[in-house]
Amino acid sequence: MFPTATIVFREIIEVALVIGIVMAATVGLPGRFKLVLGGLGLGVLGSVVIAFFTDSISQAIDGVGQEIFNAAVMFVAVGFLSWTVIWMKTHGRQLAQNIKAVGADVMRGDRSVYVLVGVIALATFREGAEIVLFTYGMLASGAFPISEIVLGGVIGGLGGAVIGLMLYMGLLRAAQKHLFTVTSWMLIVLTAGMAAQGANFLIAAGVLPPLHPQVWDTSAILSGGSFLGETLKVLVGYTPRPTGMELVFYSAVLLSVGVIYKVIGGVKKQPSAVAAE
Amino acid sequence: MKKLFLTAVAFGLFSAPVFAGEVPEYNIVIKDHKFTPDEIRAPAGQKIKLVVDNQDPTPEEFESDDFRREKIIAGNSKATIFVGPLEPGKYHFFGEFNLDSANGTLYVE
Repeated sequence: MFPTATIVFREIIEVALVIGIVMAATVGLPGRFKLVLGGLGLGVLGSVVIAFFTDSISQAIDGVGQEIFNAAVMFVAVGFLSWTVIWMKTHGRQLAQNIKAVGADVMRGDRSVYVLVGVIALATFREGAEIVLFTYGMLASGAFPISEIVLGGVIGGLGGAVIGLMLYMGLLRAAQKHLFTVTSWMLIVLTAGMAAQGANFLIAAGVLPPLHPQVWDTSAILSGGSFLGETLKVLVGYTPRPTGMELVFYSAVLLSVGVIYKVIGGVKKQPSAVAAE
Repeated sequence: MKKLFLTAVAFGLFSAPVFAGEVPEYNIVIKDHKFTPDEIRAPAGQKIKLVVDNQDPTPEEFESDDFRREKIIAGNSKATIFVGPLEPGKYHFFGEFNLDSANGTLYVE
């Protein structure tokens, strides 16, 4: 009845899940709502711009401009997310201890927090552009009244927001004591998945060889297009038929960011160490 | 896992020269949010090229969860999509913006 609702929901899940984890990972960070909203706003604006230039992007670089562009978005997001995880490890712990005043002082002199804006904006770009194009198509075809398209979009958007909120609340409740560790590792795994997706776009563009066309096939057990499949794609980079190259990228990011995260020291819990910061 | 990885690398090196060869091309037209043809037969173990011509005025996203490609095609324009090499099997593709009507199958044999 509302085709818009299904599509908008499908596209928005990715953004909603990323925001859900990022919000849970940054509990105690002053101004995080503003940063995330800023990222979302920038992402929506970017989506409209990208949607407008879709054809030019596609035709660029011998017709594989869209693949290269998507890969670039993925890899920049990988960089931003890795930075966020490592930054949270060094600064985050003191924020968790409710020393908000100290936290605010730390934040004032540190522009690194703006990486969060980038993370959210990048997560919004691609899917957002698809929503814009789809909606434009629906409006242009005239097959559905505008009210129905708008209502469908709102229902789909709310549905996505509910999923994100559920993840956020669920994390706060289930991982209370180890919130930083849990959300950090979730972000690391999510980042590895994005690197693999980026690699897939480069394979599609013919820039990278697949190394191995299909290392395994779990599509009979869990299809990539199902709700669970799509959700796991975002959260852990699930794909039913990975190529060798994707596994290489996935492992490389998982290992490198994981090892850095493990090795670097967090801020010590003593107040003296915090004051020295 | 290590063995799997080594196999993967070995396979990659082995199959690399295939990419240098001719890439078979297949044309698909999108009209009234439907694919023509909606069935394609392609050889296994070889990279193929799909040229999708969207003759509708509205944009479409050509997508397949099975062979893992997604590409937005603006209204009245063409897009090239490289696929595979794939293992033999049945691969579903669809137009994400028109899930009810835009469906097709790629048979790899």
